[in-house]
Amino acid sequence: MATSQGPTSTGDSISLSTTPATVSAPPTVTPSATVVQLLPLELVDKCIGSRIHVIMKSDKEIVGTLLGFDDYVNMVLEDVTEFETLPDGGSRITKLDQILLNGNHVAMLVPGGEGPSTTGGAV
Amino acid sequence: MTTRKQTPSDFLKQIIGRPVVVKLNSGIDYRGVLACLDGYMNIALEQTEEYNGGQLKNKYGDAFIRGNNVLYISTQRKR
Repeated sequence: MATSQGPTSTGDSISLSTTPATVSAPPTVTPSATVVQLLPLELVDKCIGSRIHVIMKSDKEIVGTLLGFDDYVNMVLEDVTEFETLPDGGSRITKLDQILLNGNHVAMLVPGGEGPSTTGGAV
Repeated sequence: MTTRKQTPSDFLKQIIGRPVVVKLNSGIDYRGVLACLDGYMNIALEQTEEYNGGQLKNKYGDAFIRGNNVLYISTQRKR
């Protein structure tokens, strides 16, 4: 892009800076400044042993202790409480022992979550 | 990595023969004794009862559930 100094005539001539607009290479990142990546499955791995709140694609949420999972994010949970958002209101079904949750229907995982609030969650 | 992958398949091996609750996407509950299942969550149950809100049907003998419908499989040992 050539810098135009603008016509000297009166009017709305914008004069640019006199330094030539050379295309310079973008600033290089030094190898020491690497970004620490946290992969999604690593985050799930960190949750093993703690409470996790699973939000399904449907109007259902499940809270439990994460025991393990696999590549498809099928999950083994313990001390599970199931929350269902019904048109009338929420219902709670508490199941004991362990469940294998099908990863097909999982939309979101919240580490340490406690499940939907009783007031409906509107902020 | 392999220890983590074993957990769902380990779980499947452990629960065969136990009374389980199988919930489908539709919300219908099936309670019965787990006869066998596979990696697709296809399930064979015995002495199955179907719950949809209240109790609807009683099945005796074998019930087969196709895995794509399964939301979860839960043991109910402590009941």
